[in-house]
Amino acid sequence: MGPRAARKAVIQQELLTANAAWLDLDPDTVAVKFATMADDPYDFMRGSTRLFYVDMAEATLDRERTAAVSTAEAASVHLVGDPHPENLSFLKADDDTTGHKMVFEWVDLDASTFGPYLLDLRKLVQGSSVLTAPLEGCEDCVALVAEAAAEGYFEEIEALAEGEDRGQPGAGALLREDIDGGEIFEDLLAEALEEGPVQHKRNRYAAQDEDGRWFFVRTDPEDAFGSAYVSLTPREEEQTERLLAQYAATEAAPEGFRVLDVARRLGMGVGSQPAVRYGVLWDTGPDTYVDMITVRETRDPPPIPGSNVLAEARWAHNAERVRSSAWVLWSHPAADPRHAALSDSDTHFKVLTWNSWFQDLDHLEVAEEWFEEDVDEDDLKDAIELCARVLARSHARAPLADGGDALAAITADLDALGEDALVEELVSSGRRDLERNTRDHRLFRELLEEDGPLLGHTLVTGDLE
Amino acid sequence: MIPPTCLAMLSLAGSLTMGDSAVASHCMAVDLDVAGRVSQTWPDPGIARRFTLPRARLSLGIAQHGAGARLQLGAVRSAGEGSYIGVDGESLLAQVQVAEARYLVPRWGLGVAAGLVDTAWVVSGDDAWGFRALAPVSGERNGLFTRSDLGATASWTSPGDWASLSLTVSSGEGHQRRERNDGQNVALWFAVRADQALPDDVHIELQGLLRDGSRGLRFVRDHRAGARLLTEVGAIRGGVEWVRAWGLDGVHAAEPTAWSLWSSGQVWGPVQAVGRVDRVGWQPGVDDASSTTTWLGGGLDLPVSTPTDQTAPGRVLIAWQSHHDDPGATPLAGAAGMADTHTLLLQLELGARGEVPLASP
Repeated sequence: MGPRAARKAVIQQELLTANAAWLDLDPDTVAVKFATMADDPYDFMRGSTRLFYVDMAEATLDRERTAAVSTAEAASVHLVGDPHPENLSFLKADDDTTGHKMVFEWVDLDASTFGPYLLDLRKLVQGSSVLTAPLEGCEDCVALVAEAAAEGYFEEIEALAEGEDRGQPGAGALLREDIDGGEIFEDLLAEALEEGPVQHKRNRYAAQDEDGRWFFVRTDPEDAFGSAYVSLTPREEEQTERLLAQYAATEAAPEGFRVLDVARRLGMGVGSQPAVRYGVLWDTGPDTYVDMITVRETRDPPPIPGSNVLAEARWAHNAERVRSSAWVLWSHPAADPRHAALSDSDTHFKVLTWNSWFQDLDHLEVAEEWFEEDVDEDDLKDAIELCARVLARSHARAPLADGGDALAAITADLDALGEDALVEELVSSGRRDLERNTRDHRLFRELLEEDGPLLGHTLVTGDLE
Repeated sequence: MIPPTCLAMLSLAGSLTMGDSAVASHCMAVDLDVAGRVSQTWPDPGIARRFTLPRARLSLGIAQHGAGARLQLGAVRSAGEGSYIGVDGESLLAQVQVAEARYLVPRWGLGVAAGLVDTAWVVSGDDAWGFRALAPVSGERNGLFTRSDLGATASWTSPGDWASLSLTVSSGEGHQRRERNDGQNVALWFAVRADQALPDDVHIELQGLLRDGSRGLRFVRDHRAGARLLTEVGAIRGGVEWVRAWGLDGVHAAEPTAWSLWSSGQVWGPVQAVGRVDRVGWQPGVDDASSTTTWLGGGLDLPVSTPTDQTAPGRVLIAWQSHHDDPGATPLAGAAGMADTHTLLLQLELGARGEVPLASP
């Protein structure tokens, strides 16, 4: 077996394993996910988080070695798990419909767990490298983003260790004079402040009937390739009734919470695209603010190398893991006041606000702005440095797996390593990770052609043999 | 004393060493092993002190002259560590580890079995090591072998038991996975014993293994070669084994080599001592890409009488387990903070077995 065939076997095995929970239950959505991944290297990266970590832990192969993580404490930091740049989002942390208390957080914590802090940094550099790879004329973009990530993280940890407040009271405080958020995130904030008050997303996906009642504009499931709302099946109707009754009893639901409409949301995300996801239109009474939340199934985190999996047992289920992680990783526990964890038998869901106050980066828009020369290398550098600073603050804020002080553990480790060594490591691993993603994406497309839209998975029907 | 004829149906080793006199007429055997453990781990992995179930095995066998059937159940957590998605929470479930039909022709030393059959290397290693509740044999513990596989085994034992061999053809995916390709694994296991030339209280045995295998949808190679030397002198026994893999867990380029060295014995009355060192070189030719695990322990046989007067069925064991990864073997390569883990454990083990004659229908 040649190296290409051998690598294809690993890609196939890990992607089938990562999607095992959905392959037999809802194969069509997995096929759509694989097609999304095939279309774009960045989306391939987003959908192959498991592969990234499996490669990193593969002791039988020659791997990039680190001089960091020299203590057990530095290996048990509360991780975001998948901090690629599109995962950083502006959130509106208050209920005031006209207020601007914006915060900036790693919003998708489905992969959160404990492990070496360096993994989050490597994932950030991988995501940033893949994002900038297609930008023509960006000279050595990998080095640019890796240096930005290393410097931003190192300097933010040092600043925190010297006594800066670990909280993050708002985006305004983060985008302060001495830390330039760059054109990219400043534009994003401007978009949130512009589109949030006029509820751009709600008006795009929902409408009012003759009686003024809001409802989701539905698409025929047959035509729903991509982002769409579709009607619920009877089983889904029963499930959403149970879930939303449970949600109404949580502190996350505002006084008078009432549901106006519920629909199944398709085509959102990449890694979690096959997950059951409901859109909910709600208000708190006649003539009150009409807003949206998503209720989304949560699944197991990827196998993060050396993660302190025993510590995960402290959370009852995946949704609680995600919610509890937000409590400690976010600057403001209620950065999303609607965030909650729900359970329906053995399936668990997280609830997040979904409206135009929430704005995250889109790699295709960054590419477009680059080609139109609206952003340059300095803007990319500023954006990634900002991502790293938010990451450093999240790491420093959350306790270690044993409850210890993460900032002290990371500071000691970085002091022993030195900033130059961190830069060197991240540039090197970034180049290797980008090369691997580019090659794997190509092989993945070949696999889809050779083995079909489910990568050769045989659907289980009837009795198991 | 009940002759262990029916009980012999429960193990591969039994079938390989049966003589004419061992043919069970019509009986049922039950074999139950359970161990409960409390352990403390350093560095603190988040939950440092915990209770676990390292061993829960129920074997049932029915023998009817040369024919028989055997079912072995083990306990598994329905959601693995790092997962929340299980059955009724993360309940412990009974897992079928062996389910085989067997036919023996003791006169010729022959046996055949089909179904979910034992992995000969693992079972023969367990029998030799004798402390499975402390740790499975090196090959299984390090992922080089599974406990069993769907397939068929033919075995032969020579007159005088000086040699045994078994040939297994199986799916190659192990007992936890269904078939993924139409290639079959072929494994040849053999043992040579020098007992007849040695004093009664001395036993020396050499075992070997060759396997040609594939795994997964794309037939990734999964070959193995192994050798094991076993010795027993009075109440002290020991062994050394070596396994080389070509392909591991769907990774074609993987070529790890695993060594294991162990010794155990009754050192004073009911007091036992046990020690073992496993070393796995994950990358051929790379000196600092190995993992080493060491166990040191002491056990106390419990004074439980048995009608069959076999080995004492109960034991309390206290042991120290130490694991070290070289820089090339740590979960994150080079991370010194992830190199060492130490565990102190205390466990209570009980093995109960017996057989009953069955009335003819």
